[in-house]
Amino acid sequence: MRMPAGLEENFRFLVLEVHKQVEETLNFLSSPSQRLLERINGRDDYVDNLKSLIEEKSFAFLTNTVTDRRTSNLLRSINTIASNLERIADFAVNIVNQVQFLSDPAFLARYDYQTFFEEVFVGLETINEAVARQDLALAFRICQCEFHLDGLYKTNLDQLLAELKRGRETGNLVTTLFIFRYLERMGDSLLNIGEALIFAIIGERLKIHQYEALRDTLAASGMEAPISQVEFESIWGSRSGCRIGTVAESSDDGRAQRVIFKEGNLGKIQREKINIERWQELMPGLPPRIFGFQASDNNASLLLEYLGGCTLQEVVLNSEKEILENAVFLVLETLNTIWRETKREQRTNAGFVSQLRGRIDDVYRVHPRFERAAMSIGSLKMESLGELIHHLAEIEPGLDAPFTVLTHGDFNLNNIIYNHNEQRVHFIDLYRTADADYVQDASVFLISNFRLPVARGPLRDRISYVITEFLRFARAFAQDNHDRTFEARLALGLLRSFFTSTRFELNHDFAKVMYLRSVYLMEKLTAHRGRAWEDFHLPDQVLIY
Amino acid sequence: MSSSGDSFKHESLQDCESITKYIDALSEGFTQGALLFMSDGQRVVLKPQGLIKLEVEAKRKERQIRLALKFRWTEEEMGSGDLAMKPLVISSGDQE
Repeated sequence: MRMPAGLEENFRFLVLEVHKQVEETLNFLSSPSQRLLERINGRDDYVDNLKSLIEEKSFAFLTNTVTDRRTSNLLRSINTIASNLERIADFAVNIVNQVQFLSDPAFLARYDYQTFFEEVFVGLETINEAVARQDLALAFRICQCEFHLDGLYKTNLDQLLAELKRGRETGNLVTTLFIFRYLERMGDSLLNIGEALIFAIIGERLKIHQYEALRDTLAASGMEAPISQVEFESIWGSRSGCRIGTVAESSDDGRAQRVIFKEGNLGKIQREKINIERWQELMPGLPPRIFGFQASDNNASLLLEYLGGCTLQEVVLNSEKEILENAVFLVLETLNTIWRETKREQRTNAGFVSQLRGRIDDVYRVHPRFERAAMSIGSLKMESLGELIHHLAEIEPGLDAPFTVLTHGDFNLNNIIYNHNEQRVHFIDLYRTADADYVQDASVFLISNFRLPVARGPLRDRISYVITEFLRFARAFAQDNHDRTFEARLALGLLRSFFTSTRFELNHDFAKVMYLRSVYLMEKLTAHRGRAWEDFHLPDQVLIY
Repeated sequence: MSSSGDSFKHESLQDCESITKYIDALSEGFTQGALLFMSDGQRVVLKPQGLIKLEVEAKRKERQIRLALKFRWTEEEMGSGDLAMKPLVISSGDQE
């Protein structure tokens, strides 16, 4: 790739100078001095000049030289990065100039502004390497700075607002707020820089979807329990304008394709990529498009299309009845096609018992009282949970599914996207896809409805409607395909999901509702031993709350 | 679901078919004069005697039904109490 002479060096210098500028701004906040103030203002001119130089060299090169697309993309993104770097340097000057409005510069020491700076440094220090290596993961790390900085800003903003309400030191508080606001805006610029890098690497203009990125960022920070949609919405606003009755797609400016960035273990990401390609072949448009894939040692990154529409969960909870009915119809129709077209005469066993056993410790950690010991009332024995699970482990091998279908692998309401305008559904999060027992997807789907924390009432009736419709559909499919052990396997799958779902349910009463249903099904299956499994019937009431 | 010391607690979901086993077990205990509850090595033995206060409460609130059965009685003092003459007390109101 040919580049204008000296441009790379100019660019490296620019990054370095902006880094110094931010560093000195941090020093200024802890110990302001006239000398430092002058140096910061002076460097601002130098930064502006460097940026103009890069701009001129790039434009001259692009007008006078025949370049390939990759080179011109890189030059465009280097210019975007340069303007955003210059903006960051400007924010630094703005911050420094705010300090004079503080009655005492030490006022700032009450707040943790240092963490903001640390995050900005991470972003700035990643730029040169990301450009040199054309590395997607590094580009995304720069984007992440914005999500971290937004989080920090929110925390500090809440604190400042609370203090402002008390009505004391309002001048100092407002000045501090301005300073944080400039730091937060540095994050916006870093996001632009990260996206410009993604453009250079992938060749398409993409926008990292904030909601998903924040979710990933939080997940990576080790917050195990999934954060509720509501909490996200309070930070970001609704995912896609899925408001009651409207189910409209968010009005994007249409210029940039929004994307989701996934990063992680090579095996897992690679598997998801292969699975997406398989779904794509089977039913084009069902999974998200792949925009980019990059693998290094043990890690890989995947850039996926952000699918417009609402998750089925949002539809169940928010949309008009008619829309809900339509969405359920579309999902069932899609499933019916998939199951029919991918059916292979091959016995299989989902292994629900080992799925349950693998998560049992996590459940007991959250709900230690669920570890039921053997009990008796007079001559009546109630077996311990361990004994019941042991019986199930003996029962399960005799309950093979007669055939496989292509399963989603984590078929919960949040992994199904409903697009009202296009009248279609999409599947996301496909890394567990496999040729397996359809009861796996059926049971996960049913429980993902049941476990919605909704009390009895009209909303619960909607959930029960989805459950009943799905159950009817799955039973009909089983019957058409002469699947005689469907009901018993469904009971196994449901008791597994009821049980393991409790580990995410911190409301003890509702966790117990699911736990008791799980144990009920365990006892029901255990009591059926010795009789033909095709005579087993799953009591529907177990799914109605 | 759990029990400790002198108490025993069990909660489960049953259906009309399976619940009769529980009612039978309790009924059998009353007939035999002793109800044995065991859990995790702990035993609670109840010996129904004398007068047993019975409360049956049935309630419907919209679709939620509650049927409560309560039995209360007072255990006689053990040891010397068995031989000692106890004063006869006649009182009105609740006897627990």
